[in-house]
Amino acid sequence: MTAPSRPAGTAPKVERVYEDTTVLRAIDERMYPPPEPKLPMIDASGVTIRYGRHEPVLDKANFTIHSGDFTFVLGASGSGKTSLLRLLFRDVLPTEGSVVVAGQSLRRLRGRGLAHFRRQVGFVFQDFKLLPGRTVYENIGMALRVTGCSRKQVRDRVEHILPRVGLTHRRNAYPAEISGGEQQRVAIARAMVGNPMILLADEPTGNLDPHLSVAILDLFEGFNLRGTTVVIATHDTATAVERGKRVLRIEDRKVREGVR
Amino acid sequence: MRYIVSEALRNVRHGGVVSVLAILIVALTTILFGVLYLVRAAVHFELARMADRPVVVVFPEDRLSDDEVRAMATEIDGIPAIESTQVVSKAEALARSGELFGEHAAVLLEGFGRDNPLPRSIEVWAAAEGPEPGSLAALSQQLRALSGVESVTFEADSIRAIGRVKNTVMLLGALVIVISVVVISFSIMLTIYARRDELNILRLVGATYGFIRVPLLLQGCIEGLLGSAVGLGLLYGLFRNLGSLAGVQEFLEPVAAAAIVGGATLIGMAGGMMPMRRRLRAVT
Repeated sequence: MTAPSRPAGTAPKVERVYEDTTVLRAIDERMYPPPEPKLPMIDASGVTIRYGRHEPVLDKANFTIHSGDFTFVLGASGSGKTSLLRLLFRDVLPTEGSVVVAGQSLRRLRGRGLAHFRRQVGFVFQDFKLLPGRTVYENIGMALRVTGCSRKQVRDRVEHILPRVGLTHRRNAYPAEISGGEQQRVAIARAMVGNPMILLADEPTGNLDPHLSVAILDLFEGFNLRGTTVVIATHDTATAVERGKRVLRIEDRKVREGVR
Repeated sequence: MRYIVSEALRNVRHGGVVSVLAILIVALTTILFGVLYLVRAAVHFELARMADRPVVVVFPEDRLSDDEVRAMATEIDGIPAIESTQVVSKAEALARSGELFGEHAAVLLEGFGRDNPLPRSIEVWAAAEGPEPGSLAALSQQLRALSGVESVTFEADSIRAIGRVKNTVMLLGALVIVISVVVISFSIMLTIYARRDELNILRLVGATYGFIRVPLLLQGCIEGLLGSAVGLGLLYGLFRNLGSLAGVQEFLEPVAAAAIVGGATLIGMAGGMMPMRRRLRAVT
């Protein structure tokens, strides 16, 4: 490494530090630690999803998503994107194959174990699934209430996330009183307020105008930068390509890497 | 805890007609149980009063001598169902009648001194813990068959009437308990169906079944508690207005009232538990 040229009048001590590459390397390593090897956060192997006697939605699909990844799942309408997300959320079980999420085999999850698993996975539903009789604040706080957080903890964390999704001024409004984009952000806030390891979002920009879509995806990227593994299902190839993130596409009931 | 209570109260409020119906049914149960308790107290009082009196009175024929009447009393005393007997002479019967008339006795009984019309009798006390109408009728038949017996009287009618009232109220009570449990479980089932989307969302954001179930159980308890409070209030109103006519002098003791409220709350909880697991799993 070449030391920068010494400006006139600088102290010799500083010059020595600049010239000592060992010290510079130590500073570098502290500020920019080498990336840890990524661990698989989601590992699906030989997964088939079949509803009743119909044709399978996914057929012996294999894919892995690593911790801290930002992944788009692309596919046409009805291709099985929602089924795949529901699978990762343990809302459906694979007919065949195994899925391990955050080190837990989903097939074995039941009752309390399932509830605890879902607290580690935030899900932004396509239809938002907000509680109509609860305010924005209560809807977001519900994800914490179910974990047994105290009122103060709920207040602190909801108050912290409200400005991040730009909803501080709408905290006392009911879902019917806010726009679709705002409902979307409530759903995102609810999914993220518990600081989950994984964020799953089903067509989060499907019904939004382009400007709002960009804002919502920026929000997801922000969460991803803080370490959350993000998986977004969308049919919008352009958006996925523009963001330059990893893409998995569902095609012919298989999960394949990249955009075709 | 505050969340659970507020959720349970919210369920009761939003339950509408069915919640009101559940509360009213529990109130009816409470009233019936209050009445049952008061009837039971009256029955006990009546039975205790009857324990001081002979359950059967045997009247020997006039032609028998006093010795023969005493021999008959000894014979009756030997029957296993009999605890004791007492011979009441004609003079003693007249004296007892005098006691009944009080200060007017002297005037009324003046003419009976020499020609006493009252018969001799043998008073009989039963050995059983409490006289039952059936056993008394059998005993009186047995005594009537003895030679020299003119007639036999016993208090079967009043005992039968008390027994009938007691049985009827108990039957009604049991019936209304069953109806209460069913109506409360129905009200909670409706709550589960009405809120199935919300309960489903709670499951999706990581709520355990316990977190969902406890407010619903508490809803049943609250409906039971409110119903019993309404019932006790109505019962007290009945007691204040009709108690003296019915011969009831005292309202429920605090312990009995607390037991009824506690019982109604348990009925509410039972109503909440019945549909819970299966319905919750079905809707979530």
